Amino acid sequence: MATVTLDLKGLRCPQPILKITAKSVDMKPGDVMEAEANCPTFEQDVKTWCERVGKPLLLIQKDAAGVFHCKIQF
Amino acid sequence: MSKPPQNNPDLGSALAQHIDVLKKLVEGDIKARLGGEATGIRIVDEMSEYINHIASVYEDSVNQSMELSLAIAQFLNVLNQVAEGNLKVRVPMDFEQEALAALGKGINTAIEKVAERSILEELLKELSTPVLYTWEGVIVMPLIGTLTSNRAQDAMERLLNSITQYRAKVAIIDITGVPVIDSMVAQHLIKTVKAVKILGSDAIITGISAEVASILVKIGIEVEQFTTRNTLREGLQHAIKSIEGNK
Amino acid sequence: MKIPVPLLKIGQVLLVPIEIELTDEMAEDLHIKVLKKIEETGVRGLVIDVSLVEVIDSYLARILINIGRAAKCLNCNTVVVGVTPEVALTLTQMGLSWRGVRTALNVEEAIALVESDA
Repeated sequence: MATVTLDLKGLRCPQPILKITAKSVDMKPGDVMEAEANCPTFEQDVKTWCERVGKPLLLIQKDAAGVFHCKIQF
Repeated sequence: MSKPPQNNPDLGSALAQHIDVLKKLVEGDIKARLGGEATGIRIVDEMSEYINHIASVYEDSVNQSMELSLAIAQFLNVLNQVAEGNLKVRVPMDFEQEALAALGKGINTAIEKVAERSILEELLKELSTPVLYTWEGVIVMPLIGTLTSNRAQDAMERLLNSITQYRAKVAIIDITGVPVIDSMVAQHLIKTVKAVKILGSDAIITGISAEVASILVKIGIEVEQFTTRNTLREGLQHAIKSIEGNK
Repeated sequence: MKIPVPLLKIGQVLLVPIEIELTDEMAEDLHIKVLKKIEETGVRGLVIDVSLVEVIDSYLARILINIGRAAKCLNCNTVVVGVTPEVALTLTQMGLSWRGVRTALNVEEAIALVESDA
């Protein structure tokens, strides 16, 4: 069960979601993807992504610096 | 009547708002817009209009990209499942962009065609090695064509299942229609005959040609395990006799 | 290749008298010819007479055994005539299995044996 981290800071919508999609190809069942992004619409975008693709969103949080942290279960 | 721009304090703050919204847009806040109140300065208001317009266009463009990105993710998801053997899944086709809906439709059609073909192949496999039920207690499996190891394995499994299902006392395997038999298929044959005996039934091989007999003997198959008859007819006669005899 | 070994069908029995020394190639061809004849005629018995063969080496012995086993697949029983005790001993020492191929002292006995099986 690997954990894959993505640094998506500085990328504007829809780049973060595109990167998550591209990386999802390499994920094996049981893996967890952790991503950091600071695009303002990231929270909504990642929720929509998880819902459409059917992967549980384990965590979505915004820290003091305005960076979103999320965890997706594959 | 508008006042000259340079001395107007409103102009300064209006431009500041413009820059603020532009900055937000650059940072990715696609919903940033300028407020509805006109400043009265025509050139400023025109600029506000254009900025909001561009922001809208930008938001649409981003939304389209998002939809594209989500579509890709969903398609990939389904294709992975198809690769794993699940031919019942389909991709969604409800997208705003026509190209995506068309792609979705294309993918689903392809999956349906593959599913159809795999059902046909399954049927063909069964038809090419059918199990025939004759008199009570006797089943016949005519093997036809060149047998691959897969087909032989498959046929033998189905024969054993049929014996159990129908409580057959005798299974006749007719290989008249098999032109060439290699050592792998011969091994399957031996294994099957032994398995049939373990199930408590008898196996008869019919239709062995002189050539096949020579090959079997040459590759060292234990032909002593076989009960053979030259034709299917003789095989059936023998089978019925042995069943009647045991009654 | 024309094999100078006759195949004589007598009722349900095929009689194969081998009266000359066979080369390896001839023995191989005989094998094919005999089996094809059994397939064609559907005879239930095969009698191979080797009384006049001076030397039965392991190659010929193997051919005889193979013919016998293949004939069994075609529902035909084989009896070999003319295997002397010395030859029999030598052959068992060669480690060949005669399982399934029976022997008889003369052709009449062989035919009787084979017919009683049918």
